[in-house]
Parts: sequence; C-alpha cells; structure tokens
Amino acid sequence: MQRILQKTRSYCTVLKEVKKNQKIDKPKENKLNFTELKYPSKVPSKPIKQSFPTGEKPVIDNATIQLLERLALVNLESKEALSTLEKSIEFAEKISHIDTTNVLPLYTVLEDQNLYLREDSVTEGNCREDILRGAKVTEEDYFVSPPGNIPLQQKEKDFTDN
Amino acid sequence: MKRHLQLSIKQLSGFYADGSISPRTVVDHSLDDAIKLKRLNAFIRLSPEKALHQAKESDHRYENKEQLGVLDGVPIAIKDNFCTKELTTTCASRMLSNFVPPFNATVCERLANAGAVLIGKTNMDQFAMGSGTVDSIFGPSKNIWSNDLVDKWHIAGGSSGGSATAVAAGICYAAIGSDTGGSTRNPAAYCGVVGLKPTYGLISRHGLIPLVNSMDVPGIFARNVGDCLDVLNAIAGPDDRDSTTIRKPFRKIDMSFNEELDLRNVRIGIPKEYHCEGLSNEVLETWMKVADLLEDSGAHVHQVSLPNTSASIFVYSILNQCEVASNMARYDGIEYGHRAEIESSTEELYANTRAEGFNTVVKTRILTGNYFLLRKNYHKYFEKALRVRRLISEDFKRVFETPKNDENIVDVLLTPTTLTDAPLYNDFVSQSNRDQCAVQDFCTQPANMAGIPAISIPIRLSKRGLPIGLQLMSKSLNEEMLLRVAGWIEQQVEFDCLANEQIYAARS
Repeated sequence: MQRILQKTRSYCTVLKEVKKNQKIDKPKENKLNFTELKYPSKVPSKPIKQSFPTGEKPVIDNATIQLLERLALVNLESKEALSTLEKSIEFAEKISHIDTTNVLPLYTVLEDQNLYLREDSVTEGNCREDILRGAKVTEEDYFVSPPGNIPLQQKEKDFTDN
Repeated sequence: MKRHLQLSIKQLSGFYADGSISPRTVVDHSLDDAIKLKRLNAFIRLSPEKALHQAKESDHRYENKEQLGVLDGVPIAIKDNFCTKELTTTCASRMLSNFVPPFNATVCERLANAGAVLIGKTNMDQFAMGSGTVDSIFGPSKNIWSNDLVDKWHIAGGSSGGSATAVAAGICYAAIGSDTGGSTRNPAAYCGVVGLKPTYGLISRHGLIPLVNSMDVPGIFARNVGDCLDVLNAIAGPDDRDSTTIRKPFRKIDMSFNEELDLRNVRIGIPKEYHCEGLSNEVLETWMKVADLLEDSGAHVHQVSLPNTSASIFVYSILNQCEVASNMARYDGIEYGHRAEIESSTEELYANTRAEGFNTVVKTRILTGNYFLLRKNYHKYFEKALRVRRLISEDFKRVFETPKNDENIVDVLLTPTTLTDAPLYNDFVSQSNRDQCAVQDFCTQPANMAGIPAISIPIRLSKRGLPIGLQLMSKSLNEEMLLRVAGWIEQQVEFDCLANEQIYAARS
C-alpha cells in the first residue's frame, strides 16, 4: 500500500484523515488567483443581449386538446400541464422571425454518409422466448391485446376556459 | 480513506497486474461504499452478485497474466437507460419498472469485453427528460458536495445525475451516461468530475433507450481526463447494430500526458454569445481566468461569434419534443413494460397504460411534440427548427474550418458548462421542468445540434464550496485535441475530485 501512495498522481493531493472537529467544507486555498488576469480578457465582461420577439400568447382550444390526446394517446393532466403546453408553444414562436430562405432542413448531422444496408439474412434468432418474456399477457406464442377498432372514450376537460 | 481510490485507471490496473491489490478487493470496497453512501441515491439498482462474479473472473485473468486491458477489474456504473441483459432497466419510469432486457447495449457489451465490472444502474430523470435528476420515480439524487444532505442539499444535475454522483463519490472509477442536450456535461460540472460528450455517431446507441435520435450520444464520466480516454478507447467505433455510427474505423487515441502540449500551436475561441444573462460572476471569473492561463502559456486566444447560439435553445426545445412524441409511441403495454388493467379496447388500454406509466413532464412533451407535428404546424415549427439547426451547425463549421474574411479559425472553443454552481434542490424544483431546462441547457445543447464533441472539466470550488466546470468543444472527430487541451487545463488547476466532507464522513 505504501508503494501505491508514492505513485499516486502528482496532482492529486494525498488525502489526510480528518479529525472529527476539523471542517473541510470551506473551499481550500486555490493556488491560482482567479481575480488576477495577465491579459485583457477575450471574454466579454457584459452579457451579450439577445432579444427575441414576443408573439401573441397561443390559445389552445378544447377541440385541439382532444385531437392531441387522441393522436398521442396521452391525457393532458391538469391546468398546469395546459399552461406548460401553451408556454412551450410560445417558446417555439421565438424562432419564427429568423431568416431561413434557401436554408435546407438539417435532419441528421451525418447527412454526408449513406445509411448502411445489410444483407437481408438472419443473423440473430431463436429469441422468441426472450422477447415474449417481456409481455405481461401472452397466449401460446402471441402477444395479447383487447379488441381493436373501438374509438377512445374522451371526457370533457373542465380546466380550460372554454 | 481507501488509498486505492486516488489512483487513475491505468495505475489501478498496474497494481492489479503486479499483485499489490486485487479486483475482488476493490469491487468489494465499491459495493460497500455504494451502500454507505445510499442517501445520495446514486443508484437505482446495484448488481452485487454479477459484480463479484466478474471481479473473480478478473482476478483469475490477472493471475494468469491474461488481462483484457486497462479496464479489466475496474468498477464502473451505467445509467439506467442502457439495456443490460437480465438486469432490470427502468429509465426511472413506472413505464419500464418491470422491464428486463433480453440483450446488452453495445456500450455495456464492449465494457464487459474489456473486463470492466458493472456495480449497478444509476439514477436519472424519467426517460432522461430533465436537467436535475429530480424527476425519477426513485427520488432525486443528491449532490455529494452539499454541506447538508438532509434539508438544504444541492442537486446533482442531470439527467445523468446518478452516474456523475457514483464517480464523484468515489464509488466507481468511471460511469456511462447519455447526452442529448447536456445530460452528461451538466451533472459533471455540478459534481466536480470530467464529463465527455463524444462526436455524434462515434459511440453506438444500440441499446440506449432513445430520447432524441438525432442528438443522443452515450457520455463518459471519470475523475480525470486520462481515465475518460481509457473508457472512450474501449467503447468507441462503428457498430453493425447501429446504422447511425460513423463507419470510419476508430483509431484508439494515444496520448501520453507526460508529453507537454505545445500551446503555441493551439487556437482557442471564446464565443462571446455564451456570456448570456444569468451567468454568475464566479463562473465568469473562472472562464476569464482559464482563458488567461491558456493565453499566458502561448495559446492563441480569440473572441469569436456564433450568432445563432441564442436561438439554439428554442430549436432544441422543438426538436426534442417532436422526436419525443415519435419515440414514446412505442410504449403501449403490449410487448413489454407497464400494462394497465383495462380490457375494453386496444386504444383504451394504450391510453391508460400511458396515463399510468409516464409522469407529467413526459406526457406534456409528447402532447407538445404532437402539436408541432400537426399537419398545419409541421412547416412552421418542426421544419423551421431543422432549418435553424443548419444555421447553428454552420456557425460551428465557420469557426472551425471555413472562416469568413478576416475572422480567426480556432481548434477549440472554451465556454462555461452551466451558468452557476449547483442550485439548491428547493430552489430548483420551484421552477417548472421546462424553465429548468431552458436555463440549464443554454451552453451545452448547441454541441448536440451540430454533433460535435464537447467535454466539461472541473476547475475550482465556488464560495459555497461547490464545483464549477468549464466546457471545451471542437470539430467532429477531433476528440484528441479536445482531450489534450482538457488535460492541460486539468494539470494547471489541480482540482481534487475527492476532497469533500461527505466522502470522509461516509468512510471514516
């Protein structure tokens, strides 16, 4: 163990056992003086102000909520959730003024690389049991779901202003 | 205090090789420490049996001089959104609370093949949607640098807060996280450890449960830059199971840290827009000082401009929610995961499963994403955001490769990682998740937009005794330069990751 101590990284101070009453929660003395600079700083001393237009507050009507809930199969839980949704949309409006004429959408940063296609042959298999083990309900070798083609029952929301 | 804690990974495996200490002993200590430091809530699940078995095998390999490399026998932790064979993988959500993957993520597979010992799965924000590790069904993770772990404790950052904590607390030598908008670098900065977000596509995402496919990358936590590189070398490179990995073969990066980096050949850029409103004085001071140190040692330090940076957070928010809406569609309760007790209709089962399985943050992001993707909104929000994303990405290309007129070309950008040190839990949760992320991700998410590598390294402690980190970014696949400069800064600032009271308290 002594050898380990000697070989310890030079920049990692050897920790001493701390006595019970000794406080080490104060920042230790920095060898570097962080307020002293040798050169005029390239970091701007004042924040760079960026202003983005504030658009109209979006209003999400009841029909839209119902549509979203049907598409997402997720329920809008509360008035707070609705206000978060509206704020997120307001937040997204901030880029609407940016000029993107003749700028193509960037779907992936690997756009210069062709997507790799492999031979259409089985490389891994015999995992039916492993896969089915994840399901809560199975019958023989099948996943089980309740009857389909029945529209979702939607309740009216009472926290909207409508 | 256990002396072996202070070793680097290379030193540790050196001692394994000459027999001064055995993997079994070190892994035992790791598991002990994980239990002693349970109140930090770094882990969702420990895997002691598997770990001890792996350690024993590692013991044998060292005895027979057949070790698999520097990571052999080194205890590590993995975030709970990476699939681990026969080990529950929850994403900190009720939706996957009973999910036992039948396969390993490529990252886990490669670490195991390198001999690394998995101690457990770490805590995170539900489905990695957050920047505090406060939205987990297993409760929040606590920052080890907090003075008080009972009432006034600080957040670990997120969403990979558990992995950052496991490394900061000395439980593991390295940990794997994921980084979509800063989820590795943010907790690394708050917890005083190194956090690397590699180039998009350099590390396979196979088995990483997706959040935003076009931005997700596995991230690496370590206590120093050298350890971080050892892990990177073990896991990077193309993977047949992930068609979005870069197919160019990965050449292991070899850099001996004894060799002094000649900074006179290094050009550092200071992007002025990263001094935004809300940046704390201490972080600003730290940023200025490190820029000054670099300049003083001969580096060319220039101010540069990335004009579209400030729009990035809005673009990120839109793209995140759109991809979330699409990605989360897979959770329906039929094939795996939580299933509601409803048998009336398929749609009813899906809706109830999702209502019970997801938290409010996840649900609201899904709904918002669906709104942006409505036929009438698609161009206005989703496609618009993708166009602005190109502008953001081109800003980086300009400063790294093709400067206009008399602008300076740079190798590495130096910026803050977070705007402040770690907030108090009570202050943090008084804001909504959306507001939290808008502030916390400001400096980190632009790198994900462009797919470029970025690293956060700890610099010093604030007046409150909490770590402050800075971020370095470079052009795609330029990890070597990024790590070299990070290693140089690390040597200058001599930040000691383990010098905090909680570690002593737990182990004395």
